[in-house]
Amino acid sequence: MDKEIRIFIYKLRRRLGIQKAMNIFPFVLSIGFFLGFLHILFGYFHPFYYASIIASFWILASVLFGVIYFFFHFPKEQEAAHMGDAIIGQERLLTALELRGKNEPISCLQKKDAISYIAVCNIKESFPYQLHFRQLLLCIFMASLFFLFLYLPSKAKLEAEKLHALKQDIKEELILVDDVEKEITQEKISEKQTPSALETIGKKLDKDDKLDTIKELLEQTKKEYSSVDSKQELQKAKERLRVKLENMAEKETSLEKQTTISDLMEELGFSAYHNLNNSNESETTLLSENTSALNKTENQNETNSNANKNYGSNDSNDTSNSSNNNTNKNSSNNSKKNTNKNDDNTNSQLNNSDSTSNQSKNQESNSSSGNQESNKNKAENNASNNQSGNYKGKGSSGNAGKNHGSKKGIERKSKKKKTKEKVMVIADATSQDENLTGAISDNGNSYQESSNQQLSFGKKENLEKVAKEYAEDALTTINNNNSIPSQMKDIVQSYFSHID
Amino acid sequence: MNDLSNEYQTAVTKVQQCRREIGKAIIGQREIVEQVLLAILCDGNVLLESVPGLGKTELAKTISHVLKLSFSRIQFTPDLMPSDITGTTMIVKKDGENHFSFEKGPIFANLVLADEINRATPKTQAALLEAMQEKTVTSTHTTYQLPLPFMVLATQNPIESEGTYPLPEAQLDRFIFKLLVPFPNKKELKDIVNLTLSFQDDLTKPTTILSAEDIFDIRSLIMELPVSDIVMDYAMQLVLNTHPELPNAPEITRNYVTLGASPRGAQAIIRTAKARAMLEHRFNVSFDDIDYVALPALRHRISLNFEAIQDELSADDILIKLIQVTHDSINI
Repeated sequence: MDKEIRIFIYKLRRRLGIQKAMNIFPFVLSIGFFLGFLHILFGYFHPFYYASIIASFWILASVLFGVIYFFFHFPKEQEAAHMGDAIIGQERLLTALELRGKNEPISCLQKKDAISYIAVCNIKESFPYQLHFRQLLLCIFMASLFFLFLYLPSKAKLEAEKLHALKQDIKEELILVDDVEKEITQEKISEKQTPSALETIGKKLDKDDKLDTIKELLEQTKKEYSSVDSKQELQKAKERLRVKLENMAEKETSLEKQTTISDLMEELGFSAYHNLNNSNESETTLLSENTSALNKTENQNETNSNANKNYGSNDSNDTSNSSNNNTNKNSSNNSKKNTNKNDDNTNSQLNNSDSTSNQSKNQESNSSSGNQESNKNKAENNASNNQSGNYKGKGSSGNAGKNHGSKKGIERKSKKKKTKEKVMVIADATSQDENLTGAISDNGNSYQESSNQQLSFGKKENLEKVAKEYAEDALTTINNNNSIPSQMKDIVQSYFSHID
Repeated sequence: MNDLSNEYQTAVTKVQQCRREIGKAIIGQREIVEQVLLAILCDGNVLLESVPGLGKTELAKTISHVLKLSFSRIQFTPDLMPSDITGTTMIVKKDGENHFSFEKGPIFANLVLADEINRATPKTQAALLEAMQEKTVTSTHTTYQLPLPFMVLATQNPIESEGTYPLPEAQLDRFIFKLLVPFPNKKELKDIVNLTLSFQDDLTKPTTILSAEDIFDIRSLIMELPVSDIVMDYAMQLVLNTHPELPNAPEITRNYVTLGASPRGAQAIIRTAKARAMLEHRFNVSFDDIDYVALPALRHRISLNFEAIQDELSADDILIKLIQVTHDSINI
């Protein structure tokens, strides 16, 4: 008898509980949707990236609140029995509930009496579910408003997304900088704490300790990153850091220090510093050497062009070019001290000895022989063709730069197998590079000729001054020109700012 | 369990038969008859308040006949002495010698009709106190047991106020119910006239249904009925709501009531509610039972102040309001 009563009351509780849920949740959801709608509305007119997230939070919170409220207000047995007595009548169920477990005759009689009424009672008919349509309509209305404004695009939303993306980028950069800073600090600490590692670290770092300088630089960069408000500025800041690190590396004389800085640059997401060297030669000296070598080549080409006129054939060109090869070889010997990690640059330097291009350049140089400016131009042209300048030119790709080979040059196979391999080496009396022999060839067709003519020095100018004047001219031109798009102007300005 | 069920069924059937039999002699007043029967089954005394001529004496006689109880009637007058009710010690000559002998008074009956009890002096009224509560009479250091079951059916006239002595609260508290006998309607009046002014054969006269032993058995069955905690709390809260001095007393109580019901009121409610539940073929007490017996059980136990008289509020009006308030405060 107790079981029957318990089952009936359980069914009643469940029914009443569902009814309570149907009463509670539309109301609670309406509130959640309303609060979410307010946030969405705010985000619709004002850039606020997290508007939809906070709005979703409100909905979730309202659902959670509803669940907790429902859990704590789930109908109890007495409540269910009281509701059941509304049908069965006269507190039979309530009394039977209290008499659970009691077996006196009168208790059993009472329970039996209650069960007789339970048996004829239909819970579904007696307690039909009732929907509060007003609450439901309100909930639907708020939900529709919420979703409408959630998915409706607006200017403020787009702006918010952009800002968020920018902040993410800044954050990532700051993390990189922080990591590098920590690494530096850890090395410093380990240096202090592990004297046995001092030797290793001491080799890596100088005692005058560039770490502090780098740390200061990184701190400044962090401040810069925090104050940017556009992607372009962030890019500029990154570029400034990269340039400063490169400058730091350039000023270093020790290869190990340069390697350290290069590693730091890699960790910061920049490409490694390429111009690692062990030479003390200044760039100006290198430029002058190469310029003199090119002058020699020019003179030789003058001689060759005369021969070309007589013969007018490729063979003669080959001859002239072969002499050019020799001069080129000599100039490359002179630049033997400079290392070139970039094989492409080496190849391009060698490829510069291609017959057609050399011939044209030689013709140009022949037309203005002895002209120092033309030699300079030729050097510049060579640099631009090689993508490796013998001058201190820096392209935006970062690959532009010095191309000083210090190792043996590798003679590449010429595409035109039938023609003889041509290497033009600028002769330099002071060059001591003897590795460029031009002897590597399957056909064994290569040979070398040396030219005694030397390139004359052009007018010496301070590179920074030249670069500054060039930058000023360029910036003045683009600023006074309204037809150039602003983005292009920004790119040019960025390029010239890096030169500084 | 089946035996018990049969016992209950038998008891209910007999009581219903009694009701029908009483109805042969008493026209209308079904609720009064039922409540008097409830009082008898709960071993209580009843105070009937009505104008003269509504059949109060006839009711008492009929009940005593149907329940096979001895009946006596005491007409209370201002000169009535306590000994006139309880009995007195008299000198009796026996065997040539004089002896003191206690002569039992009219109170020595199962059912005593105390007519117009408010006309007697308080001293005389007090003579009933012991009998009503203890079911005994004490005279000259000797206690005499009254015949059981014993019940006092007192009456009073609400109209006459001159020469009457209102019953003290202590005595009023001993009545389980105070019933207000209504004036019969036209149909009932017609039936009364037809009944009393025409020949009645034996078939129309009420017959005896129950005896004293049956009444005791029914009383024991009634006492076994369970009352749920919630219903009990409701009844207790109702009684507490009649007390104006309590902190949570309803406003109506604080405004119009000077004295609330005693614990006897709570006992009266539960006892009579059980009896009603049984007569309704139930084995548990419900809120309806409490509501049904609350008015007759409490109307004579609360004292109203002058503001209630000024606002023409009766005890029933206040109790009806209190029942509503108590219902609203049920926390399930």
